[in-house]
Amino acid sequence: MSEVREPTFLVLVALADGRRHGYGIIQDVERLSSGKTTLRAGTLYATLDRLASEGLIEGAGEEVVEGRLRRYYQLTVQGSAVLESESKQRLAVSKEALRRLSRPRGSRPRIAGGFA
Amino acid sequence: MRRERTRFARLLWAYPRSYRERRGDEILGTLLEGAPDRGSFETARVASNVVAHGVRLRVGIASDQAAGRILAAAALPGLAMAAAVALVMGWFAFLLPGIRHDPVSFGIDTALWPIIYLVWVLGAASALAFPRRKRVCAAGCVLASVAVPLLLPEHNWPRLPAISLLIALAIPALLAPATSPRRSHRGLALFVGAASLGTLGAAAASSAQAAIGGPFFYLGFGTLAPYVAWMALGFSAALLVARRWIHAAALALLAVPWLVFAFVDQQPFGGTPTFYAVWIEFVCALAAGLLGTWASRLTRTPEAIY
Repeated sequence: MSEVREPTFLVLVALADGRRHGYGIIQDVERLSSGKTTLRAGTLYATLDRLASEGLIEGAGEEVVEGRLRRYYQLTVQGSAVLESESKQRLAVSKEALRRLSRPRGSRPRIAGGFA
Repeated sequence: MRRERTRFARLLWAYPRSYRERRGDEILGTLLEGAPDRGSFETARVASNVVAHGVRLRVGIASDQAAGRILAAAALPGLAMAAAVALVMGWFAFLLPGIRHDPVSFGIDTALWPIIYLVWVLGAASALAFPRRKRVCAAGCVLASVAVPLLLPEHNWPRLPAISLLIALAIPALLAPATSPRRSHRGLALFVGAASLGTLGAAAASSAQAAIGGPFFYLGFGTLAPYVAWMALGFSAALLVARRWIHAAALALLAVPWLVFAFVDQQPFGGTPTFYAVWIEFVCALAAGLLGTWASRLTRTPEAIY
């Protein structure tokens, strides 16, 4: 399993509560990242290919809507486990960051030495 | 909507056919669904994104890193440049003997080079068009390059100069196999590279009377061209077998000094043209090898991508 980078993580999160199709994932990723991450079709399908080859997602049916093919994807058991583990790790780091920031300023460690 | 469908479908031509058949309708559906929400700027970005990913699949660069995107963008222009260089050099190979040099009559010496280079360009183009058959295409290139000179009738081979030129060209050829991700490819690439070098070496030995001739325009480019092209073809084929497309693109860069020396009337650095040309070639070859080695970290085999 390669490193889970931000767009990949967001795709996994988008699929966490059920199956989604390509454009549904794009919209959800944009929503999840508050518009900071915009997945484009080329990147999306490269990511989906990689996740499928790593066994983290799988096809979950397809349908034709207004003449357009929609193929749905969902997390596999392994994908859910990876997402859970990654989320916990990110959560732990975020909590630690907040804890450190909430300390009074004077009690924060200072950088030794100084500038000449 | 019909117009958009046609336009988006055209973008998908950047992808290999096998991938298009498997995923094309789905990607097209995704592109069409998002179309109403996009402005023209975003539409252009989506289009470039789709084409870039298609090309990357074709050339086997799977990395999402910026360097991978740059390499993918460089691959096709590199090939186009190689084709253009082939055309220009082929043109000179045909015309030059009659114009600039002592009577080297139009014949096998000058006709061979464009034929071989054309084989290489066609081989590279077909390998791009049929990514799954790259090895077959590359092997075909090598066979053709060796067979064409052997099958042709006896001829007056031109002098083959400059051992340093051989060394310069050999360096990336030897580096290329080492960067192949697969053991079996390494062996095959090494075999192809060695066969090409051996063939060229044999040709060199048969005309050992030459000391420093000239690989370029001034000193008999037209007559040397077949050998250079022969070498370039074997080298390129070795790179293709090693699935290092960026090597092939880098090879196109090797042709730049040829063109520079072909069009510049005076030597910018002084000294003998051949000496400097060979060293520029050497530096370019080394850079190509290093670039290819570095690029190999960003590439995966098509099987891994599909």
